[in-house]
Amino acid sequence: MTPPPEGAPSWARRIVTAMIPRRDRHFLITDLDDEFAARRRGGHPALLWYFAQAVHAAWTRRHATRLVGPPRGHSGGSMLISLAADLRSAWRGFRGQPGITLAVVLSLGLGIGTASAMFSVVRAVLIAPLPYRQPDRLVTVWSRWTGFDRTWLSTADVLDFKARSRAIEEIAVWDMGRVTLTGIGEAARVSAGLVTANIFDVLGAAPIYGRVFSEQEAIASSKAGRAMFAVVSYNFWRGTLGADPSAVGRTIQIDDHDVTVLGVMPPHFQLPTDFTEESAEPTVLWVPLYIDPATATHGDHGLYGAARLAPGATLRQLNDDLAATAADFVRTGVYPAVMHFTAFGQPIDDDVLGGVRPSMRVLLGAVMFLLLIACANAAALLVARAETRRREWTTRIALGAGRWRLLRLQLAEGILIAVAVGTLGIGLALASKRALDAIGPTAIPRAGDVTVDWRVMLFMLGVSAASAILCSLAPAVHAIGFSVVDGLKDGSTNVSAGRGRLRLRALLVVSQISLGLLLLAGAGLMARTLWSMRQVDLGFRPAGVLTARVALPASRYGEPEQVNAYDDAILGRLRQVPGVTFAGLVRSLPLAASIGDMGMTIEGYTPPAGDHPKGDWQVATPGALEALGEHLVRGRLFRESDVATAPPVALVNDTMAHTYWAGQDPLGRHVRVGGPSRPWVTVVGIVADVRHNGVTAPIKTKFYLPYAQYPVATGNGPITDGTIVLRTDRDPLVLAPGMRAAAAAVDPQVPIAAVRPMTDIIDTALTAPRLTSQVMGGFAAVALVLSAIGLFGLLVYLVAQRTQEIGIRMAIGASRREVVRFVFVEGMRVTIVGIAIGLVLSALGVRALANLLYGVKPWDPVTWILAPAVLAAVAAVACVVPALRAAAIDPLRALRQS
Amino acid sequence: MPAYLGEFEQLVLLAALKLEDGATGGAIRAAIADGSRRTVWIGAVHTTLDRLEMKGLVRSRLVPAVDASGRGRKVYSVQPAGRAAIGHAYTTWVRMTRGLKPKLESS
Repeated sequence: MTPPPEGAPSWARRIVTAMIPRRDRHFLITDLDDEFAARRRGGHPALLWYFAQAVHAAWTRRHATRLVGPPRGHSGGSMLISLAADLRSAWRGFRGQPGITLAVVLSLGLGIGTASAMFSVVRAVLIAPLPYRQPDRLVTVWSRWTGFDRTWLSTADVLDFKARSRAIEEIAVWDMGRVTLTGIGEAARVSAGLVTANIFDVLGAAPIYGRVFSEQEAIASSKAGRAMFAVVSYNFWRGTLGADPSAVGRTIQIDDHDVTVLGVMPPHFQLPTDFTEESAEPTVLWVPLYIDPATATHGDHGLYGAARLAPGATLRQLNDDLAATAADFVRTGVYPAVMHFTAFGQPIDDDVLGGVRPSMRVLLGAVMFLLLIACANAAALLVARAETRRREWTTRIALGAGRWRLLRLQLAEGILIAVAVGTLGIGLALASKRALDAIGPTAIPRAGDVTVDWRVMLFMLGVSAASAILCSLAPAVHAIGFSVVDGLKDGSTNVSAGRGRLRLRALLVVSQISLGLLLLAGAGLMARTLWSMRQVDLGFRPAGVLTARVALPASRYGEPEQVNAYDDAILGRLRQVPGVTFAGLVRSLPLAASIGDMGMTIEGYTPPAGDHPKGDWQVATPGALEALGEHLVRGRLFRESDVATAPPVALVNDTMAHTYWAGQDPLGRHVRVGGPSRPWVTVVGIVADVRHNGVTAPIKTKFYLPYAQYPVATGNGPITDGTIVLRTDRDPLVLAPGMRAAAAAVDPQVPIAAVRPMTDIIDTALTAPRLTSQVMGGFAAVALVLSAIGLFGLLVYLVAQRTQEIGIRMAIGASRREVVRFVFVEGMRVTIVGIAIGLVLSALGVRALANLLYGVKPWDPVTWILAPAVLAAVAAVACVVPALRAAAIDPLRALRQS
Repeated sequence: MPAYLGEFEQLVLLAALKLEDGATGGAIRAAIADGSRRTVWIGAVHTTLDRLEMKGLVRSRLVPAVDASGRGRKVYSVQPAGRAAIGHAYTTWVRMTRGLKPKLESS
């Protein structure tokens, strides 16, 4: 590069350029060059002058202006430029201490990222309103009687409730079923809701295309004995009907009948049960149900109900009305007194979300504690950082920088941290969302709706800004508050001020450890709960079982013989599939489907006055219980010979055997299911209790009838909706192609659906405790790491603070071992105080967990010994390095420093 | 009340007034050095100019390069507030020195 005319030589300018702050180069170098040229022309010594001026300018511009504050912009001093200067200065500060900066950003980012992820889940699951109009005016209506805390309604119940309660503006009911869809691509089996025409009004949802069916259309369908009209879901419309707006009015085949599509519902519309009971296979279309007052009965409870409260009415009024109506039923003998029949309404929110609310709240609480730990950790690190900058600050103050000015600089640091933390947090929240999608927990209502949107971002930015700024301002206030004279004297020998800061940091570490113990104990209890649940004897062996649902269209399978022929054919083929050891069909799969109960008469058993014996009713083919791995206690299971024409037989579970035949042998005894015209059924076997209604739900009396004999024994139509169960010694999913092929060979119009290994069903049933336990475990692990970092930092600081003291101790004869012990004991003292406080906190916090625990007491000794022990062990590891570092201090050098 | 000016600030403002369109940092420094017969540091001049600009007494603008160096110059102009401040300092000086000429010139 050639020098500009008459300017300083290029080498000199290069040196000077390197010295002058970047922001001043564009005018200072020219000024110096101009003067250099002028001096040359005037015959004055120029080069030496040039360098002297440059060195002076570099020093004043770099130091003096920074100490009293950089120039407030170049065009009049706007706030923005001043903030930019502050941010630049903060950035330089961070670059000088990358380790501490990284640790602060990581710990806050981890805390805020997990908190935001948790917030997005809680918002989607708990806070977002249900997709109905005024959901707070909606209630679900249930009946209740002895042994059934919450069960379905009968048709006559519904009509009477509507007629007699003024608190009900309208009540709608529905039932769930599976239908076979043909005529559009491959035959498919889908979930359908059988709903009264007013359900869309009651829930307050309108179709986006077309209309819903009317009462008259429901009556017409009822008279025809089949569905004639359907309203379909948005997803069904998009997927199966090709998102064609002209699909309204089109005819589809449901169970081999022509059905007219009347309307398409909006994307998020679901029946309340689709969020809970039916979440694995939510309904995709809705066909009319009509309750005919002429045939309504109190005998058959099978309907879900939802009511909209009348204007001004309260839930309490509704419940009073329902209770009064139910009491009338009992008084007039509709229901026996011993049954303790009653009915009640429940806010729809409680119904849909009540199951997950406790876990969600506990996890939200846990993540807030994690956030606190992260903040304490960041604050402790920033206190350490403030310590190293104390002399810089005192110099600035002495040179005239206002304390407000320094606070503003700290604020700028806080903003930088917040931006870094927010970015990391958003990444973490997005990653958690992806992880959640991968798990796809259908057992958690609306888990699919979790999104990381602007609200989550806003929450995250708010929390990031608040925590980062608090964390950076607190140490600054602490550090700036001291006397300038003290600070200038010499920070490192100012023992009393140093001890004050040490105490502050120790306090922060103690709070981390105590909160960490709380999370660790919570995670421990949840892990023990999950373990206990996994230890529950389910009454069958889920490993090696493949299941699939199958439903026969009523049009071609209305007669028992048709159904039996199909069952025989498909089971015959399935047993030929290589690897299948047992194959069968069950009406209701344990832990996957609700089973319901049925009243019965038991030969030789006189129930207490007004009571009726009853049992959960299972229907199974030969081979089904063997395939599920249910245990035979005594007698025999179903055989191929238990056909429709053979003497009817039944199995009972252990609980039923003990309830109705206490002290006697049930084998060979008789029961009758249904009215007096039905034949007696002989009990031929006792099977072990199966946890049908939930891993931890109570076991009820239960009986089993063979598929082939079910119509004879009960007088009902054949079972057309069931689950295939196959047992194998291999990976059960290997059987899936063979299973599909067998089904297609028997009847290509009858699809099989929901092919799942039984172990998946168990996992789904345990989703809530498993997720709670895993998420708590994750929180606890992070908390542990953060506490360890905090303790480590504290001890490193302590050693640095006391280097001279340690040097003197060693000089007067302390051994290295004693020094190690000294540091170690300091660290463990903080840990023990933290654990002690943590135990007190946990004693209070564990109450929130009590409802979620199973098979473990809140004061489980294993957890309460292990959690502090793990924490202490991790703390001990964190103490080792600083202790060894202290022992490596050279006493001579330490003394020379003083 | 016009802004209070320190002695060096007064010198910088006087030099900038005198130089008019040519008031770069270097020219101001040279003018002060000439007028005051003392060593003047360019860094100090710029720091003072920054401060005066912060107070709204001068304003700077960048003038594009006219030579091969490619570097522009930062030229300062005195603002009305700056004129008022230096005017006030001057009248104060005149008032305070009235009748002191013999004493001042003899010392």
